[in-house]
Amino acid sequence: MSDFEPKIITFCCNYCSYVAADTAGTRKEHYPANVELLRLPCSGKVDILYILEAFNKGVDGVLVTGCRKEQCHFMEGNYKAEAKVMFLKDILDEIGFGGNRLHVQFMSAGEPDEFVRAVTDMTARIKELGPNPVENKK
Amino acid sequence: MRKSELLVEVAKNIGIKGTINVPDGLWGYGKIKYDEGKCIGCSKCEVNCSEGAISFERIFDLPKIYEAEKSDGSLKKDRIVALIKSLTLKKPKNPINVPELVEGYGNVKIDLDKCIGCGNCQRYCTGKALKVEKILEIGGGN
Repeated sequence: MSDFEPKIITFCCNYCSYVAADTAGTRKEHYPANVELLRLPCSGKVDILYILEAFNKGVDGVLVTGCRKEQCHFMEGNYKAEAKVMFLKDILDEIGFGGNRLHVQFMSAGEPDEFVRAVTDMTARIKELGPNPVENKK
Repeated sequence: MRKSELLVEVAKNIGIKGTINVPDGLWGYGKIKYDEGKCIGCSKCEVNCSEGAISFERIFDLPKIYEAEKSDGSLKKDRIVALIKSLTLKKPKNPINVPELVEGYGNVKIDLDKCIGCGNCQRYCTGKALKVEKILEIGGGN
């Protein structure tokens, strides 16, 4: 296996998943350094435009994390995030890019191990899929 | 049959021809022009149509959007079109269904049989994509 290190962007919500990530850091849990976190006020704020721009810049995988169902700080933001991610996955499959480079994962603030697991799984999956298939000249 | 089509039939029968501009205060005659490039999928037209002539469909016509040319800024989803084109590995063939909680994507279908030409849809349209044209064509036209 080549030593390809994927670059993964995570859009995480301010209330549950960012706290989970922070707790994981405080506890000095080890997780892959391939992931960069982008904090949003709610996972429902994520738009298909943000994810498309990320892929256009050469990112290999995008992870969207948010509160668990019925626990969203803004009531239904996580439902919207899931709907948007599923919509974009269909689009990416249809244009041949691959919807499996995009994943949504829900977790609560008291589950730092869930965050670590999500990030580790995502890194392994993207390593297998390979780098971003579109050559970027930008 | 639509009221205006009936009128056109009768007018043709008695030998009237040409294009007539329908005056502003006269409702019920004309047609609606829908510019898909400007539609932002807010579905206000559907909500404000008293006759139920407009229906909002949650279809993202990917093949058609992929073929769209960027021209004079009238395509609202310009950036998304550009990104989809730059990430494409194979040409899309099927339209995509837009899920319930995703706003801003979809098309509008107009049933002219129910339209009474009131102009509500044009008034409430956010992206100025609907235009009620008050023209009655008799003879040569449709």
